[in-house]
Amino acid sequence: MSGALSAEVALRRGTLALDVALTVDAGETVAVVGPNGAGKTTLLRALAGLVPLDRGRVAIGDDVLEVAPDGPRVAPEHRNISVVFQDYSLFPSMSVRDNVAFGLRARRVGATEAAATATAWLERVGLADVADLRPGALSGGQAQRVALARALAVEPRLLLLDEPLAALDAATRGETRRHLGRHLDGLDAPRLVVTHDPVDAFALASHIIVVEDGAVVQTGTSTELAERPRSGYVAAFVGVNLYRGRGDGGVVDVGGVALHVPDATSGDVFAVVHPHSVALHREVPGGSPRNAWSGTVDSVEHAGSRVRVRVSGDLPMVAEVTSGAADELRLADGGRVWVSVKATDIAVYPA
Amino acid sequence: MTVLAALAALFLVVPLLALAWRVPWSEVGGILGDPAARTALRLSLVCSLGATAVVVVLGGPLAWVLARTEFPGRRLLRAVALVPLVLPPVVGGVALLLAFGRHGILGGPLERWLGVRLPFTTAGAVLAETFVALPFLVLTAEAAFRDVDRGPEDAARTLGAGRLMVFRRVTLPAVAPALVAGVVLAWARAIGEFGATVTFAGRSPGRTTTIPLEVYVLLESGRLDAAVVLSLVLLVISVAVLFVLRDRWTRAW
Repeated sequence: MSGALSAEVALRRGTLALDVALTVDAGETVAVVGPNGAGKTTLLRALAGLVPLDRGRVAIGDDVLEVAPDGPRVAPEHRNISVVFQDYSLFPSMSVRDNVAFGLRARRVGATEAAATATAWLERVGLADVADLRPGALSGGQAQRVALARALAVEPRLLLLDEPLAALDAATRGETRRHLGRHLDGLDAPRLVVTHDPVDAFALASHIIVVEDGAVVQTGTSTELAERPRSGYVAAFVGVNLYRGRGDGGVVDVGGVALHVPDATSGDVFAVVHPHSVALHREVPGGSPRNAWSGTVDSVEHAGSRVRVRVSGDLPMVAEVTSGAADELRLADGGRVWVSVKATDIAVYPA
Repeated sequence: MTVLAALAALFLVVPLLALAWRVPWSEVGGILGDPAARTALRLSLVCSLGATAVVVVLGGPLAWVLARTEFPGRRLLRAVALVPLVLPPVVGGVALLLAFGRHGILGGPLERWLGVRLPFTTAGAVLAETFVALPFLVLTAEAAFRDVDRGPEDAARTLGAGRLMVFRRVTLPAVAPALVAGVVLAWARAIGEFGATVTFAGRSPGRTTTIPLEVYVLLESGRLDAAVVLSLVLLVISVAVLFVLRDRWTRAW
């Protein structure tokens, strides 16, 4: 039976100062998201014991693995923490089966038994037919599954996944993501998955930790993050427009632009506008909406039947309209466009 | 440009052709069957293989320390390890004499307390060959240990492998081709060694007269045919080494 991961990790590596506290319950998947260089991978390596802590504590259940600076430190090979590395780091000179059996062999399981267990795991991830190949002969999706099978075959107390889907092309990604999700859901152990992809985070994790510049800036479920993002990165991650300004009655002053909001506010506030609440117009919108500006179309991105339009101007904003509406508006990069938002579609909360 | 390049190519090729041209093919069997030649051949094999073994046992760990650990003076140590590459072998021989000779700083105590004598013995020839061959392995192995992908090593640790198992199952297979190249290079350097050997170990038939020394002895005594045939043996070995290392050498570095 696995315990919860509880960790406080503080360390310096080059220009990165990482200082993060987190807990992951047994049977739970938590995603760590953040921009490149935020320290996500270093956090995983520290939990695995590959990078020593300067300060902090790592424990799984009641078992303390590391206390820094003056406490005990369990070597990575004795932590029973499995890692799925971003580039998978399979052993190139061993067969796929020997890769999966490696952890069992390291635990002094006999060769025959280890090979049988490895074969069973390969069957479970649907790769029994490539057991005798070398990793070099595998596709990206297959290599990812082998890395997963290798990590799970030792029945780890904690599973760490570093950008498990980042190296895959779009075609393989969706299927591999569903496959990964199924396997994660079947585990007793806590799981921590590092990703920069919102789709991966929302699909795999129940809880999201946002790390920027080595520190946690926000935690919550995907809904919580989408409703109340607290940084530009989080807003972009969940795909909403976020503004910070000063509230004064029914108006929020965002760098000189007045944003009319539904309720009276005061002090430093965040205002969130969902892209699908943003309307675009060729001409000055009729009915005199109070939140209307003109701007320049920066980019037009098609995503299925929806189109994301980035508009720059006094208040830069991303709008999401139907492709039919986009055609009608004859949107083109660099074109002029009017933007309007209903006050009732703006959510405001204290900064 | 092209003319100079052609001249350089000729400069390298012509002497080898001259050597091959001069080989008295009908007498090769007889010359190689000569007891002195056979002794030199056997001695060369024994000394070069012995030196290669010492190079592996000492040079491998040195390469690892240089590649994987951080300590003050590491760069200096690497420079020292490479000295024999550029040092005239005869100077190496003199230095070995001053260290391991009968009156050397180590040689004196070695002989007095352990009864071990190195200069002018077969062991001395092995020592001289080890000295000049060591950098070839250290250089290749250090680069291999440093440049090998560490990801699989980390993966192996998290899967429960101790340092020894990681080295044996993950690192060693990854660096094996480079190590083999280093060993072959070191052996090739050892079997051709002349200057340090003749200075430190002298030329005593059956004990320190390896093929290169025998070639010199034969030339001095005017037996050109025999000298050419033994030279041919060394040339064939060199070509074989090039063949073994062809992938590493004929691709651009």
